[in-house]
Order: sequence, then C-alpha cells, then structure tokens
Amino acid sequence: MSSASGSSHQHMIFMTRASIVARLNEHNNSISNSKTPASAERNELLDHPAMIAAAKSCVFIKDVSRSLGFPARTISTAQLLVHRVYVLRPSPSIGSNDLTIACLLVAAKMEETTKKLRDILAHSYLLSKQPADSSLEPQSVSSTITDRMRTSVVAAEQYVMDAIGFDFRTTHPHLLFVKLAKMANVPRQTTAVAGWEILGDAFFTTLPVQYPSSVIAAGALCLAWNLDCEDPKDSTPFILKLFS
Amino acid sequence: MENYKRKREKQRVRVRSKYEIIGFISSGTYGRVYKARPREGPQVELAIKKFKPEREGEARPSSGISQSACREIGLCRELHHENIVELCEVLMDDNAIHMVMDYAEFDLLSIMQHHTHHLRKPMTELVIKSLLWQLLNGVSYLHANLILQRDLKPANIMITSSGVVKVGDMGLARVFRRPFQPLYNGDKVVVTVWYRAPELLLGTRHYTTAVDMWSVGCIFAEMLALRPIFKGDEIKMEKKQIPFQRNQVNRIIEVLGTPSKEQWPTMELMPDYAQMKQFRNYPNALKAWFTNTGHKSETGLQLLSSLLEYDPERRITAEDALDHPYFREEPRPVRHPFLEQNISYPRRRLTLDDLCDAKSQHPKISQHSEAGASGSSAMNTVV
Repeated sequence: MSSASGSSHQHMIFMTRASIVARLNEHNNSISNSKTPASAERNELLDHPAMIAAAKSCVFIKDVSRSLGFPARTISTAQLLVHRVYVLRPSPSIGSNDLTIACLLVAAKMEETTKKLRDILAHSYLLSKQPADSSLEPQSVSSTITDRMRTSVVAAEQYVMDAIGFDFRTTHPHLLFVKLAKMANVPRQTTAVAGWEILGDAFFTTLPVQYPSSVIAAGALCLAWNLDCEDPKDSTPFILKLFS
Repeated sequence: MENYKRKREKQRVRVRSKYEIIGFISSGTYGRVYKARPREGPQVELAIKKFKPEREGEARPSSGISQSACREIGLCRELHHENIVELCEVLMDDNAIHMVMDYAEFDLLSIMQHHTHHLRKPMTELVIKSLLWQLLNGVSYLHANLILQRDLKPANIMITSSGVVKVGDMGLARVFRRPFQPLYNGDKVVVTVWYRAPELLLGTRHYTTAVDMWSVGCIFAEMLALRPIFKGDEIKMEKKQIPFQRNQVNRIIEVLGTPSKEQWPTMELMPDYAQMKQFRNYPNALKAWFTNTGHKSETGLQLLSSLLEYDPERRITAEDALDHPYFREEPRPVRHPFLEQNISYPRRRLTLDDLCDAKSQHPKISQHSEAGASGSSAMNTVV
C-alpha cells in the first residue's frame, strides 16, 4: 500500500467488516504465532488491540479538537484517518500519540481548517498530561516541548500519508445529514439533534471505513428516527425514496 | 514485528526503480520537477514533481506536508479532464513526496517567448483561438466542480506537442463551496500580480470564479500581444502587511479606463476603495490596445472585454465564454492546433542533476542549487 493511487484506486474503497477482521487477524498471526480462528463476531473487531487503540485516539482527537475549536467535519475526518491507518497498518511502528496528532494535522489540512502546528501540539500536550493540569494555558507551553514533539509528529504525518495512500479526498456526511434531515422534515430539537450526535459517534467506529458517507448520514438519521419511542416511524419508505 | 517491518520495506516502491529520470525541468518554492519515463510498461513521458524533503534543523520550523501539496494531491485525484493535468501516482521516497503526472512538452509561457525572441511574429489566430477555447474548457470543468484555480498564468498552462492544453499547478486551487471562513482568511494573497483581478487588488474578502476568468482574459490578451497586458511592478510585502498594488491597478485603468459606479456598483464596498481616489481619470482604451496588436476580429475584442469586465458579477463565466460567437467564427478552434497546422516548437530543454540517471554522452551541465535553473530559464516557473 505504499502508493495507492494507481488507476485502479481512483474510487474510494470501502472494506467489509469481515475483511477488516480478516486483515487484523492475519496481521496478528504474522507477528505472533498464536492461532486465533478467523471469524467475524462482533467483539472480535472491537476487542482487537488495534481497534482499542483507534478508539482511544478518537476520544483524544475529540478532546483536542474541542479545545482548539475545530468543526465537526475536521474531527470526523481525523477519526476516519485514524481508523484507516489502524486497519491498513494494525501495529504501526510509531507512537499512538504521534499518530493521533498527525491524523488531526492532516485532517485540518484536508478540510482547509488549518491551525498552527505549534497550537495543535500545545493543546495536545496539555490534554495528554496525566493528571490533566488545567492551570496551564496552551500559550504558555514552552517551545522546547512543542519543538521536541514537532519532529516526531511530522515524521508520523509522513507515515499516516503513506498508509492512507495520499487519499486526501474528503467526504462530508454532516452536510448531507443536514440536507436529509430537512428533506425528511424531522423535528429539529429532538430527532435532528440526536441524529447529529449519532453521526458524530459513528466516526468512533470502523463504519466510515466500511460505508460511503451517504449511507452513514442516512443511517444516523434513521436510527434517530427510531429512537423516538413515543412516535416510532418506519424509515423504509424514506430510504426507498432516497435510493429510487 | 521485525519481520513485518522487513516485509514492508521490501514492498516499498522506490521512485528510481520504477521510473527512469531523464532530466530536470524546473524548480520552484515547492521543490523540483523532473521528466521521467516508466522502466516497464508503455513508453510514455511523465513529469515527476518532487516536493522539498523535510529536513531537521531548518531555520523555519516545518509543519509537515504543505497545504498546497495536500490540495494538489487531493484535488488532482478527483479531476479527470482532457484539459487538466492528470495525476498518475503519488510516492513517498527519500523522505519526500513525489507526484507522478502527465508530461507536457511545452507551456504557454515558453511558446510565447519563442514567438517574441526567435520567430518574431505573432501567434496565428487559429492557434490563439484553439488554445483559448481549450483553456476555457478546462477552467469551466473546474468551476463546474466548484474548484477555483487561483493561479492561472501562462507558466501554469501546459501544452502537449500536438497542442492540447493541460491546466497545471493546482497548488493554490481549492473547493469554494461553503467556505468555513472567508477565503481571504486562508490565503491572503492569491494569483500572480499581473493576472490578479481588480476585486482582489482592492482587497475583497469574498471572491468567486470570476477571479479565474480575469486571469483568462489577461492570458488571452497576452497571446494576442505577446506581452502581458497589465505588467505592473509588484510591491513586496513588508512586515506581514499586505500592500496595495498601486502600480498594478494603474496599469489596468490605463487600458480599461477608470471604473465608474455604473460599471461596477459594488466597488465602493471594497476595503481598499479609498485608494482609488489617487489615480487620475483615464478613458477606456481597450479598443485602441486591441487594434495595436494587429488582430481584427470584432468578436475577439468583445470576448476580451467581457473577460476583463470590472464587475465580477458581470464578468463572463467560463461556460458562457465557450459559447461566445468568437469561437463560431472562422477560423474555428481545433483540438490539436500544432499537429494540424504542422507547427513545431523547440522541445523543453532538460538539464541533469544528481537525481537524474545520467548517461555518459550527456555532460553534466550544472548542479542546480537553490538559486536554481540557469538552464531552464525559458520555462522557469519560479514566481
């Protein structure tokens, strides 16, 4: 996967759940010889060390982005990159913290919401400190610290770009979600808000690696629709209308 | 883990083992461009754009992949059009990003320079018309896909040896739908000064595809006259203050006349409108300028003045320009003007540097340092 932009890779590639599990297990077997039967049970994906690491990265990305003020689409793109990297390189040869920050850095560039790398590093540094020290301001983080992080994060950025095959194309399920919600005319305060949250949460999983953004957006809306216990709706007609 | 790393290293594609690098074409702030051909498969010519590798201990702290490389790669992967440079592959090698792209033998700048310095005669109307039509075709594709090119100029317009235009250098291009912040906040200065639209010169915060159309107008004019129509002196940025390009604005109003309120109703809203008072009044002299070039087409003048319209709202769009009567008049534009007219230009001069697969019969001409590109001065794209 060193270069993934040949003519056969012009379209976004989505992987099935089973192929992700197979990929992770195959990798497991090649590094340690413990034979684990390959099956596609739910916990096998979620409990895989690579996916646990990815989930942790996603939480960290959300925290740092909140602190920096990145919009939802930058957060989601960064989380999508994290999952792509972990699926394609299940045991990355770089530190998970560097990898996470690098994904956020690339996502910010992809989404045209760039911030100074120094700021990203300073905010990440403060949030990764245990226990979190809220007395420090991001501006007061010394440049010795950020410069030390900079080298490894920039190296990690190269690793990330290589892993994702320089695929900087963006998908915007958020925009699509808003359009769908308007089209279906759902109640704004309840269903639309719930769907928006579900959509954001979907990016903590491998779903965006598996399905195109239109499916993710429609799925989030339908799930929110059905969560409304007082007045559950059958979403089938809506979906049929969408894809007809 | 070690096994895995070794396996990965073995799979890694090296630029030099996949492509034979024939020569060095030009260099710019982003890095260098080489001409190459694949070692296996069909013998096609390719251009490899090598971005400057990340080095530790540089004066300016690096912030990873440049925004422009990211944009160029991201956009080029999605764009497939006859008149847009095609991206074939992206490779990481030698700590640097390499973009493998279609090779084009000429660029518009080198062709116009050849006409001025060697042939000493203007380009024929058929060639101008064909190149302009293809340029508009490429730009209209970009605009239809909600992409602004933002750096259209002769050096960025590649032309194949048969005369097919390929718009290149998407480093400043971006998607303009629903920008999160005004476009101005992202890149303070866009478009090379000679091709910069009046609304940009007056410091507008919001701009549209019309800025590209102004550049197309300037390029059209330059093909007619073989010199830039508005050749202003750029005022360099000092202390991060964006200067008002007084000289450039003056050059524009000398030819097009002082814009009136009727011509450009929203002009007064421009941030740097106050600066307009310092210029004396000029009448519109575009017709005289056009006659001076020796070209006679009435519709050609019409198209030029619609492209060089002050008000961005009224400036012609790429799609409308393609339908302009100018292109329906004889001589009609053709797809391969050089091939059909049997025109040939001298091929791109290549030089060798340490990356090239030097052959014994080629003497080493010069080592290109950062000062760069003595041998490629004709096509130097450095701005």
